[in-house]
Amino acid sequence: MQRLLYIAKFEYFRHLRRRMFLLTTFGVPLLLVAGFVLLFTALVLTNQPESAIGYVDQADVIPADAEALLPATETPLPVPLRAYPDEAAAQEAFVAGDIAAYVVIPPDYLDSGRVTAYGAEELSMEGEQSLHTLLRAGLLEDATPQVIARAFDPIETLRRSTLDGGRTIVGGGIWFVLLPYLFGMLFLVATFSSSSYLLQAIVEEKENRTMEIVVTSVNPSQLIAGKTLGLGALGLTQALVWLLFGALLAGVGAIFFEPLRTFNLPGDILLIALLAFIPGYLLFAGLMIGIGAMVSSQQEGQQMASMLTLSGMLPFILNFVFVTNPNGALAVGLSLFPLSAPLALVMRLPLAQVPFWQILLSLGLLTAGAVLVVLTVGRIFRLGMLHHGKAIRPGELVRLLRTS
Amino acid sequence: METLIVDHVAKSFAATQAVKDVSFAVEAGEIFALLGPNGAGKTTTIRMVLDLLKPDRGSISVLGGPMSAETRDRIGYLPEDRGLYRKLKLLDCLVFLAGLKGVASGEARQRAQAYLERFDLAEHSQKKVNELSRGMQQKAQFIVALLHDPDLLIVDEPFAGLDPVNVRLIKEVLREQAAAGKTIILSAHEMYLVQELARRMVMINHGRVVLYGPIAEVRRKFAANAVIVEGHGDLGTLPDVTSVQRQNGRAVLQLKEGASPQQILRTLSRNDHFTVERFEVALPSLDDIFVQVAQEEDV
Repeated sequence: MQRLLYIAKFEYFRHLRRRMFLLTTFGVPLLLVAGFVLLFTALVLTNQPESAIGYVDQADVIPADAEALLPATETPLPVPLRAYPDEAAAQEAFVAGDIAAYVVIPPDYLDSGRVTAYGAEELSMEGEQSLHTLLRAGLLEDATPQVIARAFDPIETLRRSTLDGGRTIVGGGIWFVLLPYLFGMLFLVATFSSSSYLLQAIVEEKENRTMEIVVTSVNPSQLIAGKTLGLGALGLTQALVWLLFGALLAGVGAIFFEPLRTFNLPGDILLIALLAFIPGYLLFAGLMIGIGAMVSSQQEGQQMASMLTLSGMLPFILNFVFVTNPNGALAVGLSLFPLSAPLALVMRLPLAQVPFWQILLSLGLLTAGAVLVVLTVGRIFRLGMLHHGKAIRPGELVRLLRTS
Repeated sequence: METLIVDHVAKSFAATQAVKDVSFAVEAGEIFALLGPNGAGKTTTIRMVLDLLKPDRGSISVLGGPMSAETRDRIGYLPEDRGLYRKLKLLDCLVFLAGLKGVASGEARQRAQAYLERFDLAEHSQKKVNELSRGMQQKAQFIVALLHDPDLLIVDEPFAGLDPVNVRLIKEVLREQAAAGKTIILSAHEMYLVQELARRMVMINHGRVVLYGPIAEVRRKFAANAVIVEGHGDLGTLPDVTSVQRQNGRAVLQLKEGASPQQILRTLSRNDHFTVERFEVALPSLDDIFVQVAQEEDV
């Protein structure tokens, strides 16, 4: 056990210090943050709220006490609006610097809905919002407070339900679509990056001939387990860093964007995702070790590994199937096939009421697949570890497995 | 007491029978030579000893029993295919590999530094392995085999590619290890070095043992009935000699069947026209024996 942890620690820190790992782990989210900051800065720079805006109500839709009509839930107007009897008065105030711009609500406003702004190329977001609020309040002058309140917030709570009515998500419409993708992304990062590091480490040891030294010091099972543990932790670290960056972005973004405030993660989905992650990672890790033991170069290994990765990513590629028919034959099939199961299951869960037996069967097949691969890969590894510079063909492998 | 007992082992890979039947024993504290031409089955035998391959038949006892985790820690191995982590710093690489054998990091660092000094590599300890020359990597690999102070040291081609200064250094270290009671299995193609270092040997060819025993005995067994004589004067007619070959101031006398070197020495001592400066029974070198046996086997 001590040697296993020693190898795990060595592999973890050896890869952690690599430039490529640091670049992927911190570079990608930093790039996202930079993009976010740029966008935000551009938004702030181009959007300066006015000190005050004047208006000339020729249509007579805004009563003098319009602001008093606003429901209690509504925030006060972000930009003060001042009424002027005519355009000349408004213009005079504008020239005097009392207001930053003024708008004219023409007599045919109720029919045309047209309003003209003067003095500014365009109104700020806050200015426009103030004008909207005031006009809406004016238009509802004769309504009851209940109608006014509802008009300002027509849908206070939106319950979203899956087609079969089994799962309900409250609020956060955007998450309904995004959640499966986020799960998928995290799963991909944690599993595929770990297992590809594993492949890289095995082939590297074969290529640089350290394998023969290492396996005279520890037994192959300890070596495999140590590497799998160390590099699994590395993949989790990468996923965690991305998750933290994501949470940070979401936290900052929530200050400005309403949908980010409504995000909530269902606990049961999280639990099943975790249950799928462990055998999912072991399955891919085992397959990568097997490939690593069979091939003679990194390039060859990557080619074989990409086919596996593609099978694992299939649910991601076929995401429309999950959105349109999460309980359809293809989606169910993909969530039962061990290679695509981890991602498919995790993508289906937020979109449909997945029958309990399917969850059990999916996790069961995935675990059985992982156990089978881990057991077989130990033998492949023993056979392949001393084959330097010579790949083992699949046919030869079957024969070797039978005779060894 | 035997450190290693290889008892009738055999190993096949698909249609190839790499080792057919090999048996030998290595005594504690000796330098034992494992010889054979390329492809004879030496590396496969070593890999079976190290438990990297399971023999199809036969048994192997290492350091008193079958291979275990504890036994593994007591073996040092220099493989023919050298390999170190190329992107690691030399010292870190040595410390990690010693750690795999159970040596604590601080202790490993201390020992590694001492060996690096001795092998003239101290100034390169912070360099990445791939920045070192081949000879330096070879020495570093040798240090890896020694760092955990093993009781059994298996070295496969330790002199390959080294200059005479470093060959001398490796020889010195091997002798020191043996003097300290460590058992050494030496596989090399430089027969003159093997002859100089090892006491006993086994030679494998085509997966079978073809020679086994003390090197001196093997050489005597292969000795032709001949003597080497050096001296001044006229050898004259020697009745029991069939031919005289002169090489670099010495004469190799081939004796008649039944004649002994003692008879020749007596005859020479009676010859007043010849002064004997050196007289020895002509023993073939290990190199000659190796070539002879390998060729005979191939016929």
